[in-house]
Amino acid sequence: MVASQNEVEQGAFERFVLPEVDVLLRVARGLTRHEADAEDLVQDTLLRAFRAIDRFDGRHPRAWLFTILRNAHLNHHRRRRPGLLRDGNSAGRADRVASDDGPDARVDASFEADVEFALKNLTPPFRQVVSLVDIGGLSYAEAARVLDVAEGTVMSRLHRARRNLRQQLADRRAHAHDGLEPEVGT
Amino acid sequence: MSRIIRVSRNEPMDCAAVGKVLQRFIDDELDDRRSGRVAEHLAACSWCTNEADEFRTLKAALAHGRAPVDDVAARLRALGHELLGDHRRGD
Repeated sequence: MVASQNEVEQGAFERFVLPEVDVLLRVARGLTRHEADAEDLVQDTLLRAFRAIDRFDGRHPRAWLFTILRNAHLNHHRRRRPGLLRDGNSAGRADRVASDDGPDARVDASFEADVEFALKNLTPPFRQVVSLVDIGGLSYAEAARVLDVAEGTVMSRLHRARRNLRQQLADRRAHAHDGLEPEVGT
Repeated sequence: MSRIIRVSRNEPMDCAAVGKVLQRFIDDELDDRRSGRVAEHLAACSWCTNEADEFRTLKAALAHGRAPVDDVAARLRALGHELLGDHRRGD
């Protein structure tokens, strides 16, 4: 029996989209910084993916989904902050280099929570690449396609973002050691 | 287009050269030859190995960070199944 076109499309949605809900949610959380917004964003992404599944060629499903996610995110952002959307190159504090003698920022029990907190302090262009590459598992080339920027831009933003994260973690450790709250925000 | 980091094919890489490509090495974005040369340097340099370990730890924490809240993920999966169900019922 030959599957109908609808059955093929539904099969593709089950096969390529539904298994990615968790990673979509984690990437959305990285992009939006708020749990409720992340859920709305993934919900929108699922609806868009469902409507577009007939146009999906079966290649790079995660990159395809993240492209939808990113477009949905841009639309959410435009609705909320008309005229303020920008794709800036400023890293804020992202270009600071970790101090040579800074405290060791490696794993302990609270490390992942600290990383998540630090991620929220990155400006959107930097949070996007970290979310796509480190959380979403995309290659530089795939992330570049999703963001519609050059691969070198992905690379430079990602590297600066990680240095910023590392610096924030070092700062948190230093302030925790001193009993002070670190400054946050970019 | 990727930025090209020029290094001599035969000279051992120094810390500065490794520093320029270290994150690409961690992301498995270097070709085999350059990746091998970075690995060779790391085997002999505790400073760069420490740098690499820090970025690997950060990357791992991001990759395996806090799992989505179960009921949120479940709600979204249910939405996906609902879309499929609605579509099938509408066939």
